[in-house]
Amino acid sequence: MTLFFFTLLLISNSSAIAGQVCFKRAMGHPDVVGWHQAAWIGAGLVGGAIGFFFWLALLPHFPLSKIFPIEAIDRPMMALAASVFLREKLTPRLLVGIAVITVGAVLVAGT
Amino acid sequence: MRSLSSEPDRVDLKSEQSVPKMVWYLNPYLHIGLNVILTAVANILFKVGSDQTPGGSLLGFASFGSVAVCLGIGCMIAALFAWLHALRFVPLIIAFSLAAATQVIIPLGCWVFLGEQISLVRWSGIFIVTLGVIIIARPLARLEERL
Repeated sequence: MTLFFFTLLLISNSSAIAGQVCFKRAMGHPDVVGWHQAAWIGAGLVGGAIGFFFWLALLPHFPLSKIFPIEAIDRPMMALAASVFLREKLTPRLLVGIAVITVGAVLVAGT
Repeated sequence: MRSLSSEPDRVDLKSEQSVPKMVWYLNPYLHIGLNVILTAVANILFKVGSDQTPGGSLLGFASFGSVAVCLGIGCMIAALFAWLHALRFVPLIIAFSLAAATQVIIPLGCWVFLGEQISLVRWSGIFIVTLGVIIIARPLARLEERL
């Protein structure tokens, strides 16, 4: 996998994660209601869609068994995004759980 | 990382306390489970549906004619609503990590319903993901019991 395609994968993952952050912004605050809330949900759907189309652009170039395991970096990426953009607390236990899930996800996807 | 979170305790407490007051079917963790199951069902329906339709069209648009694929899309939409409800109360990173259970349910569903083989490496991955989800879920379960 070249740097170019790895960058595409990072963009795909980042868009999907940004979409999830928008979903959380839409739902996680009691003051966000009505059109305001709908706009965040819409932004979340757009983020997910952009991520999906970058993923589709990537697919024809590699066998699934090669890109699926690399896609598992979205787990630590999500931890970073939730911590930075949503100020969510990352406890040591949570970090251990995420690390274990990431290793497992690589193995599930890789064969 | 920790220095960035200025008021995590207050946020956590709020989200955790609002959970047990609800009727059982609004429990956000139940909805994360629903999201996982609906996503898995949708993916299996997509596989069944796309196997029945001819390939070769751009992005598989021909599959939209399949009943199974349309049911799968319905499941994905329902899964999104369950997910949004869960995010009302559960921190995103916890919901996202618990939703990794799809990595377990989808291979198991393919094994049971589609008769696909699971390699030894994948079985070990399934086991390890389950372990990770349990590590994150256990303190949450204890909290629910206590309150």
